[in-house]
Parts: sequence; structure tokens; C-alpha cells
Amino acid sequence: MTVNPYRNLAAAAGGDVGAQRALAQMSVDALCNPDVDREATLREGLVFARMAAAHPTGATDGDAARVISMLALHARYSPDSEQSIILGEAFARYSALVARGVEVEGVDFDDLIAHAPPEIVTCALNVQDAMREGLEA
Amino acid sequence: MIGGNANEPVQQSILPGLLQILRAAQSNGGPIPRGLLGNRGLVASSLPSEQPPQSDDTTPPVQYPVGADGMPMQPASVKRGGFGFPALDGALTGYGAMNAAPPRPQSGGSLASVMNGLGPAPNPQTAPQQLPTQTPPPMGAERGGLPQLPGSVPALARPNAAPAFDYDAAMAALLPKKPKGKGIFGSGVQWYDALGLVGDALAAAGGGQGGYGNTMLARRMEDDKRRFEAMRSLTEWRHSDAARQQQADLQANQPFTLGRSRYQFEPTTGRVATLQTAPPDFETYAASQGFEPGTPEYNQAAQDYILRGNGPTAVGLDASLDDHRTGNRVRLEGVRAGNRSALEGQRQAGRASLRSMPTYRDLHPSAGGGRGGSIPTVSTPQEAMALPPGTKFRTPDGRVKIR
Repeated sequence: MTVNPYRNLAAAAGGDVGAQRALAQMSVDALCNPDVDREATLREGLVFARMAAAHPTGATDGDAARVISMLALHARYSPDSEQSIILGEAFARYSALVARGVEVEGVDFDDLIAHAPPEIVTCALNVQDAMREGLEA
Repeated sequence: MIGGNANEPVQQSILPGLLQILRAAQSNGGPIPRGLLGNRGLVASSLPSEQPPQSDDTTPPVQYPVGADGMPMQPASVKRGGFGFPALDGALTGYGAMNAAPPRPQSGGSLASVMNGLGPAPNPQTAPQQLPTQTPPPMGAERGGLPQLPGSVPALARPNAAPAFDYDAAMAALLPKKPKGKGIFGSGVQWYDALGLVGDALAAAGGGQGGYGNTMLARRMEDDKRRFEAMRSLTEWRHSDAARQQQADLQANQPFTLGRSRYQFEPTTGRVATLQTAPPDFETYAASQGFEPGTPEYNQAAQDYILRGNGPTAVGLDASLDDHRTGNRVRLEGVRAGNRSALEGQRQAGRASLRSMPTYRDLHPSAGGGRGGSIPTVSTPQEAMALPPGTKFRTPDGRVKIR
């Protein structure tokens, strides 16, 4: 099925969180196509997913969770040298959700972060600081 | 809290495998240090420099080389088009720029460039001062040659062996790649798997769709299909190779004649078997004469066959024939000599008998006056003087003189 991302582009640029979610989901759906460049598709889809997650009025925790899933996909299709940066952002966003009390049953975030590689934790801290700084600005 | 009470955890249990891993790590590795994130969030005390986590993951921290500008260098992101948008040069190049303090030219304008300095700070003591030595490309690649399959042995390395197709290397190249690294706690589960499933669970609880699990399921189906195609291709190649090899073996297995022998090549062992060796013609000839091998007659017959007109039998026959001819010539010579002797004797006898036989003159002497018959014989010189001048006379010794 052919998708046309330009249909939602104007609405997404205008701040329509639904269009931003649609474009983000469109990039995830496109991954099932073996002819697609997964990494590039995810890079572009993540832009809209981050926008939806940062929407001042329409963002939900599900949008942040979608960013985490897409970051995990992006890390899977990225070189090893970039995985720590990508997973660091995922941990930072997961940490923000956990701080708001959003958790998955049986998964202890503290245990998970304690066993994470040091470079991922370092990147997560830097991303978390940047996100806080961006919210305060 | 997603979609409910903030004090109630999400009622989603989609990570049984991850939980088992975590519990196994807790039970085997002793107490996991807690409180690193005392405020249930990321804090600076989580940094490994202050409290390294108890992890069996021995992967060293990423250390990027320092560039000419003194800043750490990371592999440049690949700029490619996504799911419909054209490739944006310099945009969305990403996460590599997050680790470099000054914005890199190719990352300007992207979200990543805005987030400069978010990556781990480079350690000047441990950061390498030079770019790591690059592994040279395989031979043939820089000259435009065909890429070499991993694990295959170059033909030049085995000049005496027939180059065989490396099915294992082909299978490894055709099959989908498995993720590298030991994963979380050495279980093979990667960190992105764990975070992806967590994100899916959180998104599902919030009424959204994470997409990691579905994508991985599709990817797994695609990998299964690719694995099936690879197995089918390999099976077809093996069957084709086996058929060609069998045909070649059958062709090479045909008996052939070399000299007086019949041979057959055995492809499985690489040996040549002698089916039959015909005896030489001289042996057949000697045996056909009824001689036993090794006897003088047998050897002579063999020599006769080989030497033909110069063999011992032929030479013997020639010698006997020459002796016979010589005997004939000797005997004929004796006959001739006897004939000549007898003829000469007969001649002698004829001459002797002819001398003794009186001639007609003897029987009919001339009365004189006749020519030759009337020559008077004188006894003394006085009688000769008495004859008329011009008269022929015969002396007492028989000489004829004229007066």
C-alpha cells in the first residue's frame, strides 16, 4: 500500500498532534517493507514522534512511549557506535515516565539502569539534563 | 501513570523473558545496588565513574578519536531518504553530533545538532590521539574485483587443490545477520530489545502503539522467509553440483585404451585401475607355436617375430641355403673339371692317333715333276752341284734348297 506522508505534513507542521502521530506511525509501518531504508525512515519518523511527545497540550505518555519504542528500533538498525546515544535518550525518556509513576509491571527501572552500560547511562544523564533545560526555557 | 491511577503500575506483563533475566541476575549476581536513582530518575550518581554498576558486561566504554579541532570524532551518519521525504542534506543526521561540542557542518539544522554536548564527555587521557588504523579492504575490492565471500579461501592459496565452493560461507552470507554482543547479562537479549518492549508496553497502556514488537515480528517473518529462500537456493546449488559431479564422474569413468592395456579412472579415489593388459604379439606368436615360455624355442620364436628376416631361424635358413648352393657349386666345378680333363685326354689321344695314321701323300707319293713332290733329295754336295741350276733339292736333313 502506498502511503503519502505529505497529506499529514501541513497539519503536523501546524501543530496537529494527530498528524504528527500518524507520520511517526507511518515510519514504523514502513519498516515492514524490506526495500525501505530503515535507519533513515526511523530518523525522520522520530522527528514527528518527538514533536508529538513534546506537544504542549496534546502529548500523552503513550507518545513518549512511542518514542522509546522507535528509539529502540533505531538503535537496532544503527551502527554500534551510535547505539549508546540512541539508547541513552530512550533511557532518559523512560526515566521521565518512571518519575511520573508510569511503569511496567515486573520491570524495575532501577535494576535496569544499574546494569546498563556506563556509556548509555552517561548519555541518558546528558539527554535528561537537556530535556529539563528545554522544558524550563 | 498511563491511563489510570498513578499509584497503580501498568497491568501489562509482556516481558516474561526480561523478568526472568533480571531475576536470574539478582539471584546469581548477589544484591543489585539499589538507590543509584534514588529519586526514581536519572541522577548524576548513576555515572559509572562514581559507582560502577555490577554488570558482567565487559564492553569498554566508547572512546572516539580526537579530530584536528580537538573534539571527538564519530562516524558520520548516513544521509538517506526516509519513508517518502527526499533526503535532506545536513538534516537529521543525528546522534553522532550529540557527542561533539561544536556543531559539525553536516549536522547543522537537525535536532541532533541542537542537542550538542549531550553525549559522554571525552576523556583526554584515554581518548586516542589519532584515527584508528583502518583495515585495508580485501584484495580485489579496490581494483573493482568481485567481493569475496566471508570464509572462502582464495584459489591462489591452494594452487594444487581444486577450488571448492564454500557452502558454509555462502549460507552465512545469505542468512540474516544476528545481533552482535552478549546483550543484557550475557543472555543475548540486547538493550534495544528490552527498551523496545518496555516502550511497547507503555504505549499500549496509554492506548497507543509502540511498534517495536510488531516490527520485530515482521522482521522475524522476513528473516524466516529469507532463511527459507537461502536454504532452498543452497539445496538447489548442492543438487546441481551433485548432478554435474555425477555426470563428470560417469564421463571420467569410461574405460579407455592406452597402448595394449585397457584402463578405467575411478573419480572417487582418483586412481586408475587396469582392466586388461593384452600380451605382446611376439608372445602370442611364440605361444601359438606351442612353445612354453622361457624355453629356448620360445625365446627363439619371440626373436623370430621381432627380428623378422634377421631372426635366428631366418638367418639359419639363409646359412643352410648358402651351404647347399656352395655344395652345388663345388660339385658342379668337379664335374666341369672332369669334363675338361676327359676332353683334353680325348684330344691328346686323337692327335696321337692322327700322327700315327699314314697320310694320302704317304700312301700316294708323287712321281716327281709335280709341285712339291718332285724335289730330289741329294746325299752329298757333289750331287747337288750336279743338278741343273734353279732346281729345288732336299738335303739329307730335310731342308729344301735351290741350286
